[in-house]
Amino acid sequence: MREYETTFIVQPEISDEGAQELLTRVDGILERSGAIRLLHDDQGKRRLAFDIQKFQKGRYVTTYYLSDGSAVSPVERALRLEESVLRFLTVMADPEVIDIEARKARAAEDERRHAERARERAQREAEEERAREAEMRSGGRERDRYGDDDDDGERGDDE
Amino acid sequence: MSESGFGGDFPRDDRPPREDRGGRGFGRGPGGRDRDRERGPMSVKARLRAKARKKARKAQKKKGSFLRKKVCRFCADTTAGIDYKDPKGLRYFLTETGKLIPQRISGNCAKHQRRIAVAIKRARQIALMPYASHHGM
Repeated sequence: MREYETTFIVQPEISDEGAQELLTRVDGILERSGAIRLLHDDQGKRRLAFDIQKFQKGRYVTTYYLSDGSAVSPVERALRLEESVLRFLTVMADPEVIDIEARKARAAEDERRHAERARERAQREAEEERAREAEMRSGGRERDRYGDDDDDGERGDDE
Repeated sequence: MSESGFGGDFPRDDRPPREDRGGRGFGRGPGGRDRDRERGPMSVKARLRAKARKKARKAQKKKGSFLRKKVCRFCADTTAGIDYKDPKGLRYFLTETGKLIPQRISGNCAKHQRRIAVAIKRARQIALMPYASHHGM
């Protein structure tokens, strides 16, 4: 078995549910082509180094899976046809995985860690959102006066 | 020129006989004509190479830290991985205009420079790193 990782960029405007649906579809394809799905690593929205279809941000998801190679083309075909996917890249991460169970265990561990990270990120984002709203309500005039500073703050939030 | 080549004025008993010391005189450093006598004549190429070596040594002495021997950072620190999904770690190997920095400057060994180059090219494909700096401006 080989280990592959497929990273793809989903349009930022797609909702969490929509992205989840896409992932379940990918799961289905992997299962049908006899691959073992290790994990989906949702890295959240990141700024693109350059615009793609006029989008400046994108949701990055990396899917790790074990396959003999026959699963790659169906997955890529599905991603190519999916309009909400801006880009994808498949890389062979390991040409020969011998201990499949050990790799699975490691993936489960990673998945837990990623989930924790995602939760933290969501919490932070929610907090920032609340802070922004509070600021909007309290000091609309001040915001105008320090327009530049506020801009910088918003850019920081994106990271 | 120091006085050492000018030894004739100082009476010393441990000096070898005059004919063995060769014709060292004013304006000629160590090496030069008496080396020809010891090792046989140098070819023109060898003489040029020797001159270049001497010049390089001199430059090194003058500049000091500028010509410090570079060590590949990935050989030095084996825990550091190269990952195309990590643009922060790769940014160091790009110029401000988004071009790859040659290994002559980055100091990477051939193996790791190759991996860096591949990782950056992959990162560009998925828009984690720029092809050129003017993107999105």
